[in-house]
Amino acid sequence: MSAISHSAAEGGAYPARPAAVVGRYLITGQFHFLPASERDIDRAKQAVGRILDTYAFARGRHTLVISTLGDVVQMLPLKLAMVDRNLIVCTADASPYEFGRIRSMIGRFDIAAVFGVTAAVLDGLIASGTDPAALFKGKVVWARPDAYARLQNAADIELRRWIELGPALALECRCGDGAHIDSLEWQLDRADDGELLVSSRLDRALSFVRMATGIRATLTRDLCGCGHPGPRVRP
Amino acid sequence: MSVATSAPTECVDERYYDPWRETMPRADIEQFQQARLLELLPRAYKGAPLIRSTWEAAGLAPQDIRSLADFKARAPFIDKDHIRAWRDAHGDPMGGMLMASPDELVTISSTSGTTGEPTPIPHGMYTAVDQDLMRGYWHMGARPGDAIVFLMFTYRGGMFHAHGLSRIGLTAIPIAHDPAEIPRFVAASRQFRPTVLMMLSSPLIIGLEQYFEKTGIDPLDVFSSYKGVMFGGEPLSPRFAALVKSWGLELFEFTTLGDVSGAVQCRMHDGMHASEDLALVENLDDDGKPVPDGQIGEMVVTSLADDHAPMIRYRTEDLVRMDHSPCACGRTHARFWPIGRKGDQILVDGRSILPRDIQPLVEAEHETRSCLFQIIRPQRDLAALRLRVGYEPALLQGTADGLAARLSERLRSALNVPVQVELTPCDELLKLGPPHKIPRVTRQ
Repeated sequence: MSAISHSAAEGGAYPARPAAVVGRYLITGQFHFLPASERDIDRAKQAVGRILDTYAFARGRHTLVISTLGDVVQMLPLKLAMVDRNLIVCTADASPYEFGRIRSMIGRFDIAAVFGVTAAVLDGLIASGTDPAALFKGKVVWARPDAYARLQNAADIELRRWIELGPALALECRCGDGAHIDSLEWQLDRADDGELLVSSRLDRALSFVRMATGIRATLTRDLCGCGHPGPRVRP
Repeated sequence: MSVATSAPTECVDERYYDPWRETMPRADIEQFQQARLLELLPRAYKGAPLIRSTWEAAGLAPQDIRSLADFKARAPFIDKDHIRAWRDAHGDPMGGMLMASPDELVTISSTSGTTGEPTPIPHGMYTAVDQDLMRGYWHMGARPGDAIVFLMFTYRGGMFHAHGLSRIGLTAIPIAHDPAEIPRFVAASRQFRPTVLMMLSSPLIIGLEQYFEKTGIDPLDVFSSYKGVMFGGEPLSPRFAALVKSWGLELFEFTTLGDVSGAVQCRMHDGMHASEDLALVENLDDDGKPVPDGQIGEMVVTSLADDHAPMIRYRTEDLVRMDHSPCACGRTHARFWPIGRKGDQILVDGRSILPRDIQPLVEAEHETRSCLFQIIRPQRDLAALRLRVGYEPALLQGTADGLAARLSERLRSALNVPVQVELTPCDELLKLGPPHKIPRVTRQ
């Protein structure tokens, strides 16, 4: 398993753990492999579950997760958390060519929430003659930054941020007042120029020490209205 | 810690992931199928409204079926049209097929939607396809501690499948099935040295060929660790088979049993292995009568390992030949050879033609080596074969009209029917995908 055991190229090296899956993280659009162990996945599931619980979606509701397989380290914990809550997970690829599947899933099922919307997905919907604002009406939509900006003025969408800080995922809760980061798992620091630096705190398959994320944002440390302590990210 | 015991150690055949099931004698396979069917039928009848309605219309109830032979003689069929009709008539997105309660449902994936709107497939965390694939990975040489590149889609339950592999110690490297992801796939192959790849398709082979030509990267080095690679989406063309072999890869063709389970070739490369403990597979004629081994019929499948929305005697429209004799690889389950889709068969000037008849002729021209083509078929019977063929403008020697004329002549002389060829750049045709194939037959 030595090929899958990493030392951290971007930072300090803790003893490596075997990976359950190898996904990816992005730094200023640049792709890097991200191995994750079962424990990494399980802890991420707990963290994202806390965000889901601020909504208390009813058991048996449907959700739509829009992603690619490369997003496995970010999306698998979310899916597993939803399975634990008896939410039924519908899936579509994050591609401009998936407009048919996205429309079909939303048309056929009572979708409560949509996760991972990208600008490319919005482009595909618009090119196929579908207004994303109308399609997502009445739903909670977690959008990645490029899509968030474009949906910001849409009425009747409960828009929430989905932000990836390198390997760390930050999500807004029901309060929509900055994206929560799992403070047990990650430590965030802010460089002088405002860029966020991310460090892992626990035994990950790939560990990170003060890795520059390429994202400039403010950090809020006051208690969120949802009751969860820990830092929140505001771009 | 060592354990001393006087008991003999049973010899498990390490060639197989699940040796007991994969090498069951025929009589045991049928006994297993019968037991599973008799347990499943009452639940499907009770829970899935389309199954109940179909059986009631046939004047049958599950208790009327007492054996596998009863089932094969009397059980009514369903097909895609029945499911669509139920969906439209009852506003039921599951087409009347959902047997499980919503509490038992985990996820809804969907078909690729190559020829229409994607069909939802409800299921639990893991499926019969996952079980079948695991047998294929093991046969190809994957063992705990190995890495598997999983080049697929999310909409087929790919993430849960990847996660499932980790339960037996395999590390999945999931990457989107998209030619744009080829640099990452190549990087993963070099960095993690995986054993198995699931899966290549025609568009990915086209993309890899172009990538290696442009970059000068040696495919033999990139792929040196692979013991086997699955290929799926559509039939493998002779040129692609030779090309991939030149990269040092051994391809194992993969298909599905009407989305009920999977089927993969073994190292004998002598037919697709159906896992008959996961699905009952029949080869029937248009009247529903069994077709003898070696002759062409329609594959009809029944789920044996689906507790959510089992298909019961589903007519797949896939034309196949079957063989129930044991394979030289030691497995005992049936093998089959796909011939084509029933709906893809066209009659030109009275002659039957399938896309696989056209494949080797199109790829023989350098400019159309990517083998992307569509049969334009406004109706089943045609006076001339009309084809839309993808070409690579960068490879064009002479004019496009000249290429069209050359190609038409090649097709006409081989197929002996009138031919009309319309050329279009490959990039435009690929947009008609899903990423792993394009519709081979279109109305316009």
